[in-house]
Amino acid sequence: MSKRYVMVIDLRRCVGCHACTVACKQENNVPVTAFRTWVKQVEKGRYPNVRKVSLPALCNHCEKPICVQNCPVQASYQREDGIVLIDYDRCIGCKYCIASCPYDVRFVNPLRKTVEKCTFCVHRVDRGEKPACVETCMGKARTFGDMNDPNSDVSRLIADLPVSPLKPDSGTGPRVYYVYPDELAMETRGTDANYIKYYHRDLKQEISLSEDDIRERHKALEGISRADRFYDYRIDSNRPIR
Amino acid sequence: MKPASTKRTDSSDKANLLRKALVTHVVRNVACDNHEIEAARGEKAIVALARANIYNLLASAYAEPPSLQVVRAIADGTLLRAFRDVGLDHVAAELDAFVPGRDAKDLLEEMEIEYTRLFVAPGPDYVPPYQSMYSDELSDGSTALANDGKRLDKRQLWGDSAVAAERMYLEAGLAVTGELREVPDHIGLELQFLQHLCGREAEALNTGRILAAEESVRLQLAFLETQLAPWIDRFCQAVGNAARHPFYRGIANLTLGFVLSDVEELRRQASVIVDGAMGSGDVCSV
Amino acid sequence: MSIPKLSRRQFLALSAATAGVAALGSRFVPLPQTITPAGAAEPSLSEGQWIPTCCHMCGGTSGILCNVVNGRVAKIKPNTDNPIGLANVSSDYWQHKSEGAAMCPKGNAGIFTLYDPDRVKKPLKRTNPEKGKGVDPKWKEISWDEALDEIAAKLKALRDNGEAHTLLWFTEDSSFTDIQADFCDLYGTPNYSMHSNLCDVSRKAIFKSVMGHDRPLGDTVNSKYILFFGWNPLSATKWSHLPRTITRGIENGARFIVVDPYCSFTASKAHEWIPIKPSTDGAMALAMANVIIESKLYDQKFVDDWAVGFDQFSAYVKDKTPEWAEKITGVPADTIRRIAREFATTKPAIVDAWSGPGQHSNAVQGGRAIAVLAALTGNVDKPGTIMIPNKGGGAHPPIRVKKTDKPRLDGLSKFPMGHSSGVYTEIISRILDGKGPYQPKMAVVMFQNLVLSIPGTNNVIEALKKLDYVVVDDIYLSETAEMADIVLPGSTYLERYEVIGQWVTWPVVSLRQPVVPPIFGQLPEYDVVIQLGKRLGLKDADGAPFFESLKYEDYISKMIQGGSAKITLEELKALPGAVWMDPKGTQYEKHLAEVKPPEGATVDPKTGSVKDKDGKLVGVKVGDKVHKGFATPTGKLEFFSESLASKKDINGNPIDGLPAYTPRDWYPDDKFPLFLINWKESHHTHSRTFNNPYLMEIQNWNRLAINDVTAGKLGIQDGDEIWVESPYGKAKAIARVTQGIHPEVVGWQHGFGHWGFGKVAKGKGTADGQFNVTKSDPISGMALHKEVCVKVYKA
Repeated sequence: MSKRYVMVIDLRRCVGCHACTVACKQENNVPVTAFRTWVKQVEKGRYPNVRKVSLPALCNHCEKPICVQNCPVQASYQREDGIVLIDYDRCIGCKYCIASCPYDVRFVNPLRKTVEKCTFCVHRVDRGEKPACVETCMGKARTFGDMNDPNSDVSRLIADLPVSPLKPDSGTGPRVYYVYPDELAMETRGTDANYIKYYHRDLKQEISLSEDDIRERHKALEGISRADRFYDYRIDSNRPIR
Repeated sequence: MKPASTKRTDSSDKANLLRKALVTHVVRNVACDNHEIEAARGEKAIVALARANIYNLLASAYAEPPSLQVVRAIADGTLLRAFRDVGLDHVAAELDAFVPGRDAKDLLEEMEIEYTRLFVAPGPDYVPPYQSMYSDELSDGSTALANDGKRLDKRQLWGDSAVAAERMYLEAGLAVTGELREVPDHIGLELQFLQHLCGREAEALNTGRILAAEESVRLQLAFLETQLAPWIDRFCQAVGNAARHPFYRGIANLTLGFVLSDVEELRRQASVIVDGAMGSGDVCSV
Repeated sequence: MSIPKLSRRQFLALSAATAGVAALGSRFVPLPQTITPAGAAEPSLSEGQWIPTCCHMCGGTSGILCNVVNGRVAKIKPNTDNPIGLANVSSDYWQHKSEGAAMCPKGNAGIFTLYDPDRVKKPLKRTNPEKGKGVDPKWKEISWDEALDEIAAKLKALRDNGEAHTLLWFTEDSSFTDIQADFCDLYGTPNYSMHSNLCDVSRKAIFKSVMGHDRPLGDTVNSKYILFFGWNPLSATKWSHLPRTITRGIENGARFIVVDPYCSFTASKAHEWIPIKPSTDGAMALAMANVIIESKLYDQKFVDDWAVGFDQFSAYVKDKTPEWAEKITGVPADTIRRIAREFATTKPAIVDAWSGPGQHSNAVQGGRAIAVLAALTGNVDKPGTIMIPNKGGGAHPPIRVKKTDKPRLDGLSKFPMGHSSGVYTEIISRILDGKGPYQPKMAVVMFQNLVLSIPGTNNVIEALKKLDYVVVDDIYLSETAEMADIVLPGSTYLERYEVIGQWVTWPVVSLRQPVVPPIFGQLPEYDVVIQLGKRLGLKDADGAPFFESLKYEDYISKMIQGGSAKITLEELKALPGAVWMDPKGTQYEKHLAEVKPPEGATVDPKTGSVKDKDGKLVGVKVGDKVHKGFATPTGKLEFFSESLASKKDINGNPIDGLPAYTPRDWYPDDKFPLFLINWKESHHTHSRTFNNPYLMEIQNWNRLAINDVTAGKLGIQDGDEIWVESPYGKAKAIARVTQGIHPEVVGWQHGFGHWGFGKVAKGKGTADGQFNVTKSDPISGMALHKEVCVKVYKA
């Protein structure tokens, strides 16, 4: 039986430090302002019964990836072990996959001008290493492995603990599981009052881009719906599937 | 040395005079063995030495603050005349307006500050003199230049161009090391590398090692095409825009002009070689 | 711009005209002929080489491995051979090593800092004599020799004039400190200072006072009750094992309580977040003690055996009821009562405090009240409690020097629990008011951004202006470098050496070593010190020229050999991960170790302290045994400190030997009604990391957190531009309306508001130190970053 790679993220252990966010960027040379994995942060409750919840997210490498189905040039494809990848040489940047993904994990790489997303660090996995986000995690919240092996860590976590993926009824069969899933965190949209508008992307400020650069970029994005914008859409993640 | 054709006797006389003057200058001022000079044979060696010399001048403009010598050369009009001679009249005019009556010491500090402001101290006018800051590179080795030529994101030194430059230095048997070390794709290093290659070419020609000379020329062209040419225009434009001092505007102009001309000439020579029509004296069109 | 295409004639002419005008010395050296570039004689060209070292994106020094490919640092990952990224007790480390060590976001972004184009690359000299914020220094590049010669000349002039003591020296406290201290001693200035007094010297004081060690560590993974006052280890992840050890402790059944005015990410993981008014934590602790003693829930045997001053303490807290504390802290009395009971009856338990209560003027007494709770309940140096670490490290290499007898400028000796790092705020104040024993003339600032780190930003700027000559060694043109006469390019941690004694509970010594040679050819800071020492010809007490042939690698080899590891530098390099570890691991209840008292030893009948005939403490008599005890003056845990009671604080006020509660000096009033506090998050270190794009894109602004109700009263909405104003400063900020902060408190992340530093950092956020007084707590010299009151209104 072939492998089926999945990830399990234990929300008890995630402290919202963003080590994974940056480790992934370092490993995969992700351009500034784009993220292959990120940590959504939500504030719950009313003073003084308040807490902040952190929810790391990434491509779910779904069982029935709609992005693969919808790609007009078969640039997106899925391996036997479940990892969904993009052939950058084939991608024409039409962004249909970005619009299709119920989890908004895809974005346009501003340098390559093709679509990009988390690859489960396939280059590391193929040489026997864990994805960079898993390796670096300070709480050891992320576990990666073969779900088809009943003795693997991921299998045992899924069997023993309460887990749920994001939007389980999206129909795509997501394969990233959250231990002790926090309903509120998983449901919250960026427009909700309790979303922690922490990130620079919520402000007009951008890093290392001049006013001219920003104007140029925004001009290029005119007419493209908000959901397709690799930069802004994460404020409003968890769009319903079309 | 034979003139190109009888129709251009006047200019070829001038050329001869120029060459003699050049040789004299080179003998007097350029730092190389007398042995080399005495052994200098043929125009090509002189040309190579001259190119080495110019690359040295350009490299020095970016690699270190201007010396008193350079400032004196500005103050006494040497560089002014040089700029005029190469057709940079307007820059020469600026220098001319800027310089008279200036004490060399004052001028020196002013230019040191200008140099630092442009190439050393991070600040609003800083023009980072590193190739990596001007090429967009991806980790898979492919190169994608953004439409407007600006780096969209990485703002990081020691990009792929630096690795490539260092590799070429090492393949040529040179290492960057010690207290004067810089990131390998610093413009000063890249220009000085060409100086070294030109010097080698000259030496090889003078000692009759034609193949070694050709190898050096090949390396020169390869380095120019892969390392310098891709970013030299954007860099020089940026320097030209940021520079307040006419000297640096002039040098930027000169750098761009010289490098591009050099590339063109080397390409031309390469195609001539390929065509098999290699003459020993036709290299200089005067 | 016209592009002249040069014909051959033109360039020959040019060459002739300019021959010899510039003769650039070669930047290249020929490689030995026998080495081919592809053959990896040049180590920088080897593929896949992982070099073990220690991070320094913050002072936590987590172990890392760095991959150098083609001369470039390609990747940084955690080093599992170094426990600091995994666990702080040895049993946990050895048991769970297979999980792998961790690395925070800053460590992951290290390559960006190494290759930051905004780094200072060459020595710079100021040509504009005018100094000030926003004044262009008009830097010019000078050579290293020129720079060092000039600095040495200035130093020499002072020294020759008998004014060596007017040199101020500032450094970060975990980097090449020993050699800098040696330099200052040999040079003849007493004013060697480190940044610790900007950080946590109050915590050091409180635990030193109560249990004899200034840096105890909680064994959270094995604990069953964890109570933190004003500590945010899940964001301020100084040691990258903290998230794992704390969340694992909770998973293992620990109840976790966080007392903090701000609902931090740490408070978010707690079973309860208890909002409290800033600086009042000591009152809550006393009330807890009141309940614990009243209900006889304290560990009577432990207290009888191991505490001094319990009776006085007990009498003192008799009227410090939860109701009394509620009025001061705002925490409901029932909550205090309940927490006290839970804490006392759940074992093992940890109680800890850090920079929350620690950066107010009542920090030491307030903190002591918290620390004694551990003693009260017998939760000291046992598994799952606050541990006295057996820290390993390097030893200061032997040096014979006659130190100057001139007094320090900061009056450190007048701080009864002052730390050897000095008191930065007092230095700034003395420069400005001239009331010190002398006026300082020169400052060398290594790896510090004084302007953004010392409370009272404008005071720091003015003070630096008053000095005759300032040298700054930094990797960025910081706001402090802006005030310098010479700036030397600093090195990043990837370019230099250090000996690291890791902050875990058992001796671990690790190495920081250069992963790449300094990329601009700059001298690492210790080599700057050596070069200056050489130029000055500094001699030790035996007349030997100390720096003449000193190599830093030899110096640190001596540090390693003289310290816990007792091996050479080369041997340490060869160990897995370049880490030496004591195989005996974490030792518990070290105070119980039995000792044989020497001849003529006496026992104090009141305290049980056993002293030798010279009066030196050698042990503690408990029952009929003599134990090692704690490193306090009595050998026992001190509820009452005789040592403190016999002293006066910096203001000349007597100090209570008990952890008596007094409110902090500056309280909100009608004019400035809000407490302003600040904190750290995981993606930044102090003011250091703000030019790093990967870190700035996680958060590039420090919005001011305001309670929802308070904001409503002020008519402020989320995202509004607001004014923040104190009597000492006024600046704009952006509001973040939240439920997660006490209604009387506003706060933000520290370190923002750069106006220099680099293209990415500049202009982001609001600098927090500008609203403060330049002041320290009167007992330990801790800078009062959090003692500020402000008013906030819409812009």
